[in-house]
Amino acid sequence: MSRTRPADQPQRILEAACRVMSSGLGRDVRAQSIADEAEVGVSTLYHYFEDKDALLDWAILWAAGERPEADAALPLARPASLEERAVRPLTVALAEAVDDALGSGYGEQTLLDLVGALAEVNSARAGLLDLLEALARTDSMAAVAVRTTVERVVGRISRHLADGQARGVYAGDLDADVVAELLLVSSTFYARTWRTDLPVAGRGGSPPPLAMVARLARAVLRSG
Amino acid sequence: MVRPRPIERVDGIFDAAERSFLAAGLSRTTMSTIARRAGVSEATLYYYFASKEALFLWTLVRAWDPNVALPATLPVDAPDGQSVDAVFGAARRGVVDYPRLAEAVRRPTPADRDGELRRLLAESFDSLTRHRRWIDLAHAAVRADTERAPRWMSETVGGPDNLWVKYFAARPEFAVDPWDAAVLVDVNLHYFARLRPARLGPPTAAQRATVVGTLARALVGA
Repeated sequence: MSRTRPADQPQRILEAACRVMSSGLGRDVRAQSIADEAEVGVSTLYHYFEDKDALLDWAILWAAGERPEADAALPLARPASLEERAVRPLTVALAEAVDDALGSGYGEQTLLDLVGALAEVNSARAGLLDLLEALARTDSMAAVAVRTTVERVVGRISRHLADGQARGVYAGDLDADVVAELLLVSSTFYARTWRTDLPVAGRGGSPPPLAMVARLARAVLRSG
Repeated sequence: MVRPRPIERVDGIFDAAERSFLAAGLSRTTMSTIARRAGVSEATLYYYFASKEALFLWTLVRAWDPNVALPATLPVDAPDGQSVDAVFGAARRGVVDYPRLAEAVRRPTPADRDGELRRLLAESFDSLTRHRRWIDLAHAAVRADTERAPRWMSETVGGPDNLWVKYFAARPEFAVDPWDAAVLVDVNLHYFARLRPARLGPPTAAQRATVVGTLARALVGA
């Protein structure tokens, strides 16, 4: 007689795979580590997924919010067009948020809107972003995707800053590319990494202090 | 007849060791992995280095100063009086990342606090750039080490022993939360001075000036 498998088992396995990949090894993980994290046997992994690559790919899609169809034939094979389904929606969401914020003109409020928009996308898609960053070390697909996404966002912000400098709104002595990266790196950090990576003793889990990034944004304004 | 063992082989071993430690940290790297990567036998590796810890410490020393000479007597043991913990202790005392910051924390606020901040930011930026290989190795080594990682984390970005936290706590004139300010400074200095993708090249003078200038303006406020 075969035992009944818990209905949430695939979900637990995929979440475990995401955690193990995000912890620093990227795709260089062993099936055993994922099985241990999910508290199942290795053979259970292969009941649901054809091989380790299929499991890891489905975990990336899981982090991107996609779910396997309920009546899909098991074990699941590697999903098609992984990059388009996992990364494209993220890139589009980021680009739209940045465009939206920067579309309102030049000045303090625009930069504050930008900081807020970057933080929001980072918070909302933290799981996928963590995963892609960890993967970027061992997987060229993720590396290219992360790089292209970051470069596109930095390029968009940089053009805005340069235009603003030409209009005399932003301080002309600052390198627009670097300021764009400063704003992106800082917003990303406060909105995402802050949660888990910091020994925040004494902070009592207070919300991310975006106020500091706002100060950074104001520092770009031309003084006087 | 004993085959001569060229000391040049040590370069290959160091490269293999550095790559292994960066990838897997100290505890999860084995001498056999390093030997395989270097294309030598494990016995040869132990002919040169007495232990994994000795090899790791010399890899760190070499990341700090590539010209440092190895002792002539083989196998090489840990550098004089050094242990893994002593090396990380040096980092904790602020010798590695921020040479002047520890002194500044103990000084009263100078009249030109804006200028002091800019100088410290620039010096820290340069220190991080100069020692990036050392810091990468040390960080990779402790990442998976449950005993050393908490201590290492406590003095890096936003940790309670972080020198920038102490600096801003000692300079209430800046009117910033010491933690928030320290994180803003550390995240951006580490990113631009050492973590930015290598293909973008080493930081330029203009980039450094923008990072220092923007951070200083943000912290001094309006």
